[in-house]
Amino acid sequence: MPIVADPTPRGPRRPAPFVLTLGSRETGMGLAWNAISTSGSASAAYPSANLLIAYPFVLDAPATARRLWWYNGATASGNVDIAILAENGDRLVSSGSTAQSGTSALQIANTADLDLAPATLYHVAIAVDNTTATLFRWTAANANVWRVAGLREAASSFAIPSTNTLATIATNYLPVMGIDLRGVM
Amino acid sequence: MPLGHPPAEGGDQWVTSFHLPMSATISNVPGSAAWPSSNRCIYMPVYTDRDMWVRMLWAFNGATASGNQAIAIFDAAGNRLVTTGSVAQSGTSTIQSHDVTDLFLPAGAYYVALSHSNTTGTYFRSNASASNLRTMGMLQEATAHPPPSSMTGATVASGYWPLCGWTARTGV
Repeated sequence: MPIVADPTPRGPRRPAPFVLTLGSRETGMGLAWNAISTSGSASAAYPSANLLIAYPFVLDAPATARRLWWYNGATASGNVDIAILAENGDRLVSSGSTAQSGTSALQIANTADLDLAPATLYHVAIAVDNTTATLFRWTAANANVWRVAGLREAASSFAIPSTNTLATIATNYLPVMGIDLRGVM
Repeated sequence: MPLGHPPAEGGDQWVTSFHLPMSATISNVPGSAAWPSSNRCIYMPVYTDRDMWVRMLWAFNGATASGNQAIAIFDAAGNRLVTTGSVAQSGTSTIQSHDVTDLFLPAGAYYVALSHSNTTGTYFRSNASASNLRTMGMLQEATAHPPPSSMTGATVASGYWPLCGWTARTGV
């Protein structure tokens, strides 16, 4: 996807982060951040086989997604697929089905470089094909916190299909995952 | 950077390594701990959306002072913009500040870098896991005290996130 110039000249632009993660300002997670557990993310079994969970982000400056990553928990099992989706749920790039490998460690997928435009809503999405696999994840008081943070989900979405219908999130499970925009992390 | 945007002189005077996205344990209170590896340099991203002046660099020393520290700022491409050079660590459980040549810093992505010459010197640091620090964009470099003119960042190996930064003020 070619980079398009931001059509709306504005004031100073926040640079793209080196690594996009849940706490990045680009995720708009700040509202929910005050309502989640303060004990940190923790390992937990994936809540539902083939469930897709996505969080939105908007960059203020153009950047290139070079790799996608997630944080495996204490047990590795089955397969994981991670992707960047467009606002409408279309898949832009993905790892494809990848064996979960490594415990309590980051797993990084080398994906095709994808140019991301500013002022455009995207999603980072993950799906796992079983409920034995674990990921580090955040929980909140209930899923409504994630609703206001813009999270979405889709059932029966492994491997992540080319088009997705993103529905209201009902799962209180936010995997630690993101984008490597630098190529080293 | 848009022309005409004034340097920040009011609210953004104090930029710390803890400007990193808090993907790690947000309840993690910094405590004193020994520097993890002699001559290691730790690079911590900061993102500023306002132009700024840098007038002083500082680090929060821990309970034991020993050896030499160096603090620097690098641009996103890894070029060193300003540094304290190697300076004897002085003072315990207090902030050690260094006057540097005033540097105009346009809004952008940068690294605050801290290196130390031995593993006896201590800093107040968060011990969030290395994996969490990786997700926040931190990097490290071995044999990099004082920080080199051009950084070669590698994967973070230790759960050690020191409290350091810069200020636009002339005093910390």
